[in-house]
Amino acid sequence: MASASRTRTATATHEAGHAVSALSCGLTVDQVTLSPGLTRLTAEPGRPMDYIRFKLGGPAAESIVLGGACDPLLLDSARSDRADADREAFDLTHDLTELDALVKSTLAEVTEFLNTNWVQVQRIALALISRRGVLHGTELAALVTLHLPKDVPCPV
Amino acid sequence: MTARQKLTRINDELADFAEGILDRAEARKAQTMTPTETATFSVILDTLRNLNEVIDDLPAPRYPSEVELRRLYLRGGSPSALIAAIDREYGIR
Repeated sequence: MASASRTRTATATHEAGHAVSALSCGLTVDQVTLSPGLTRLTAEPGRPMDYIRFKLGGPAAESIVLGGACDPLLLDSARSDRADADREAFDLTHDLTELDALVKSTLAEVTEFLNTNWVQVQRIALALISRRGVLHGTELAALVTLHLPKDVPCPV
Repeated sequence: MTARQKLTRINDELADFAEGILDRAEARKAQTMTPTETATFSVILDTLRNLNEVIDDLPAPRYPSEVELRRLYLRGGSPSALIAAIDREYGIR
């Protein structure tokens, strides 16, 4: 029971990270669920970097809540996100070394962005846990106000 | 009031309180919380997740049949009386 509880909180933060990253890139979230942990977009991102940022948002948020004590890309829950981000990054770079550098630098940017919008991440995690584990896109949009730099279309 | 309703009310009140902590941090134009706020928020989140697990484990609510709905309506004589009767006898809103 205690382990399941911890997972539930970690999952909420993980999905909140995906959602905030998606919204910051102008992507529309259809639904976020806690069980199973899933953030579904209304459409596939048009730009590959938006997809990579969206995917890395989950591991980044989970790492922040764990106090940065572990490498976010080594978390069990992050493996499939990392694999998805790697595939997209490989399509961009066609080089494994460049791919790794791109994913790591993007992860650092996403982590910094989530840190500056941490209250919003917490707001989504709280809503997910207290509202029966499901948040629809409209609820999500009403819930958060992101702090975006003015001159950058996608800040993370 | 059913156990589910009571626990749901506690859930909503705790969630409101936690949202208040986040609102207060935002009002300061901050995206981080003070150590006290962080600790309080964390305790509330832990409580909420446990509370929701208890709510999930409660037996599913009973729903009145069509015949029962008709009986309750005839007894009450109005839609609002019907809603009150359903709330009282079945704990469903």
